[in-house]
Amino acid sequence: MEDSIVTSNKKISGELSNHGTIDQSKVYTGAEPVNPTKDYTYQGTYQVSSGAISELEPYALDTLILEEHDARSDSDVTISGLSKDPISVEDSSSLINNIFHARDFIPLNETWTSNEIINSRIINADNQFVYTDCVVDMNNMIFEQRQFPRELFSNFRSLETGNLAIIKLKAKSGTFRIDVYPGEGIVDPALFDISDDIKELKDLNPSTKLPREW
Amino acid sequence: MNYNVPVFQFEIRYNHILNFSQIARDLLAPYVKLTQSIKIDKQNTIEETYWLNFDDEGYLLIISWDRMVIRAQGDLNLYTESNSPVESLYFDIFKKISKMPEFGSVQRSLFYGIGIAESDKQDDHLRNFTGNTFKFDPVKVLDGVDDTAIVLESKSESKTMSITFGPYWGKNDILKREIKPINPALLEDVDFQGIMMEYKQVLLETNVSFDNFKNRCKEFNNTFKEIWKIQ
Repeated sequence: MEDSIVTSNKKISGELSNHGTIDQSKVYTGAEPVNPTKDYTYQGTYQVSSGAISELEPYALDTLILEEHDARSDSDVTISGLSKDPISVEDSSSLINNIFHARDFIPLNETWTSNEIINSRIINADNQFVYTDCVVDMNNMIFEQRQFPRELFSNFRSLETGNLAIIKLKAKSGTFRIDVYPGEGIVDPALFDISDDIKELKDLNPSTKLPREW
Repeated sequence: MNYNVPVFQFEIRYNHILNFSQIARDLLAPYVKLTQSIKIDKQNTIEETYWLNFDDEGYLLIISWDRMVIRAQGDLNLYTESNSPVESLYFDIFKKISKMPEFGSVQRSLFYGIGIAESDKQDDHLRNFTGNTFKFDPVKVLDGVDDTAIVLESKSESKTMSITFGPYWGKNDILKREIKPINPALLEDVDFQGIMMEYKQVLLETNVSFDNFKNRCKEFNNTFKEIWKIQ
């Protein structure tokens, strides 16, 4: 069900729910234009036609709670702090933020002049290096084989051929940083599915004209 | 000209996905390891919103039941190159969302950005701008006037534009805007006087791609240069 309504040329949307206490000073009855800077509580029924709620009647079955950001127009840019609800002890954001506090040692005043996130696949590994296929240009599907020190992959469960990886490369004057992460769930394995093309070249005499343009 | 983009934001708005909170965790879980921190807003409601913070790299992703947002700061070219965070993360996640059976269609996209440039002339900055722009003395209209700007707006069925430009007074001029930079500490580099442009473009469109994003950035840069030239 679409949850948006259009009234007085303002698009407003909200969550349909059964909230207990209603501040009557904020009840919107449809008699005045919507003020986007004001918090409203709307009481009324709604009718759905072509995905939009088209007509409103006050004081009926459901309660539509309009929160601050919901009253903004579709042209408004999304601002920080979508919710101003107080954070409860069980709120995941406070829990997770606490977990990540341990990482505050990361300097925050760095300005990287290059920042790449590369989809890659392991093709081989020895005692020193891990060899990978890297998609260096997604648009034109250009691949490069690159090797990285094996210790960068110590967080991988296995370095079997075909395992996927995300490689983040950042650079600035005097500094180059490589972060490597397992790519399962992020990298699409089909990116590296070029076997059909290679089959066409198999057993082809080097002096033979290519079967098609490459 | 020391041109800088202290903050920009790109948004794709799509039909509401009513069961987003039930499917988003599986979708986004693999990406959490790449982030510096995450935040979940409005947890267990239909408007559950995920904030993937990449503070140390200067960008932030916000993914919700009706929109995907990237906010960033710094050199725009960093975000328009191949394998940039916009292509490899933002549009990669969007691609996965748009392939879900629950996904309807894209409704509109929005580009917001602030561009600044250091002025060559450091004399009476405000007077230079008003003198070249107005046929009257602003001081006679408003005693003690300390800032001014010009707003250009256009609206059509498929596009809404708003461009505000005027003198730039240093980093506090950025902090009082609607969108705040992710890392205000980096604003020390842009604490100078010059010219400023606040730009917002909303397009009603159903297809959005990385190439669209690059074009929007190009238009933003070109608009700034056009305004700068006439000053």
